[in-house]
Amino acid sequence: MSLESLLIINKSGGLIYNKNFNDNIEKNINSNDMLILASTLHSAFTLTNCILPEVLQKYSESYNDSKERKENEEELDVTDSERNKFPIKVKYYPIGNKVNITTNNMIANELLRETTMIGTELFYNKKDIIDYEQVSCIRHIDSDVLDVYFYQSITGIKFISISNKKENLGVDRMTCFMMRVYSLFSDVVLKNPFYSVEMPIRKNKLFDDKIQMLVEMENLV
Amino acid sequence: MKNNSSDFDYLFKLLLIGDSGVGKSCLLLRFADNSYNSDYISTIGVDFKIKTLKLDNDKIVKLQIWDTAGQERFRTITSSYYRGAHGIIVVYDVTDLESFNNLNNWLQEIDKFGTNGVTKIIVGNKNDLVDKKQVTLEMAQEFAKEKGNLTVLETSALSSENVEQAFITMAKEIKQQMDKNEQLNEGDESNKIDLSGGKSLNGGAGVNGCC
Amino acid sequence: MVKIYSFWIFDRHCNCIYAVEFDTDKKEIQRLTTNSSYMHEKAKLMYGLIFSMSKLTNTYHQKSIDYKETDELFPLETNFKKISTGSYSIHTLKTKTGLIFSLVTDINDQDRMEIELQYIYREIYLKHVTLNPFEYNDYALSESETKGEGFRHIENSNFDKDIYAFIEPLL
Repeated sequence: MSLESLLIINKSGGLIYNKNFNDNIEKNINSNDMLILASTLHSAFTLTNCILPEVLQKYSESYNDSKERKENEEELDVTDSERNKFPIKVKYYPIGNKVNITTNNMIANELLRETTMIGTELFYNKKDIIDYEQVSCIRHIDSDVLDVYFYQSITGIKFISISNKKENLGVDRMTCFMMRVYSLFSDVVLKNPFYSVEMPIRKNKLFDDKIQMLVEMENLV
Repeated sequence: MKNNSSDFDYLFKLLLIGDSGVGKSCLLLRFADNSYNSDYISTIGVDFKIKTLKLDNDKIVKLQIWDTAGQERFRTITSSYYRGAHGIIVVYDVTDLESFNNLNNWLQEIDKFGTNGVTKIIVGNKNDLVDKKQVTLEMAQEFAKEKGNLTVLETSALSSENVEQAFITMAKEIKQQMDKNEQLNEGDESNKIDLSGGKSLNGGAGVNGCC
Repeated sequence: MVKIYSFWIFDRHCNCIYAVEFDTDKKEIQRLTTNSSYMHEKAKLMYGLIFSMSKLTNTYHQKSIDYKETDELFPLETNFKKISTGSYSIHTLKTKTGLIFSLVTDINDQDRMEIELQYIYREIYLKHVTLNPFEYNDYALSESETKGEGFRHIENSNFDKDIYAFIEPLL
């Protein structure tokens, strides 16, 4: 039991999916509070971009200067290539515990296929994942009692997992986990023709089951 | 192991903007589900209020209202919250001409940072202070007409009636807009992939001669 | 080896009382002075981030262990240590007197910076500020200077010197 909640936030800061693995959270936090929690975390991203140390400012992708971009578009290329000098390396963790997968469990088999992350550009030499898009994004918040891990996709969707301190999970491992959630999200949710983009994920039992399975396989609960 | 995965069908993001001191936060005090005051606004420049509504077709909509700080120092931050907003509420104070004149700046800001075609309404607050009133409804309506037939409403923190109506109308408008957009995409000829095959397939030289 | 980008102290009235930012290439220093609006703005945002995130984690934790608020003398309070982003980390140390020391460094997962922050508090801050009769006891002299509205800050060249001497090898 170290993972407590998993949240997915759309690019405008609205909570579109959450799953809790702790009954107390279920009991004490209603969906409104969860929405506020998610949006607060979203705005923290804007803040971290605003307080970027001077030295790093040239690497930053700007969230809020859409006007300036239009005016000096030539300069944009410079910053774009500069930005790429700031890669982040994440150690690749293979999917956790394979023991409890029996061959006739269809969901588990599908899951394994879907979440290998082969074919993603980020996947590099099968050991590391190289990511350039995270300069001012929060990746980890550490407090006495909680660890909050973030992963932001290139399209701006944020995956957040909140875990307690019973086990030290590490940023890399959780990033890999959330990348798997991301690939599930794009496979199961975005390909669903009845899903309207940016809206809450509702009544998608397959996605729910797969998330549950993934979390169990990763030994997070 | 349960999960409380979203118990609502739609989530609309509404943004509340306007000069500081026009009473943006008070406006929502009675309307929103959570009336208690969280003090995020003074630290991160934004606070959140949520209202749950039920539309005609039994769909549950949650309006998440982003109540932004009017102070200048949060301007760069608040402008980044325009992204993805479905509707924007611009508030002025009917007893303060300055705040009414500033509406233009706020609307310009929306054009600059907001999504195209976002639903906008103008709300004049503090309407209960009749003897101090400086901006008449006619003035506001004329201004709104100029800016593309925006809806104008006058409210006060004392009577929350008009506020409720404004938000419900807004939610419906957004929903309609969304449905319209979806239909548009389906009906749009240019978005279709032509499966019948054009000349290039039938008459193209190298295509048939693969073996 | 970590690089340090900047160093901040906030008092219990949410005011920033000391701030200094380093440029790693030229070792130039940007610091908090009465009329540097850039640093004041940044300090407010920095405090806002630290404050709101620690409040958020605290609330979440209380809910997750089903904690009921009581009239206890010492209510459950959790400490907030670190925010790390893709390019820098903010390490914080909150003292029992409500001071917040914060170091902004580059990303380095192993380093906790707790010892460094403790050292600054114990050896440098205590010596030059708390035990110094010429410094203010409280940087907010009146009610109107609390809640982030204060403008007084540490202006003590010995303190500057010691801070710089301590941080310089880490730059």
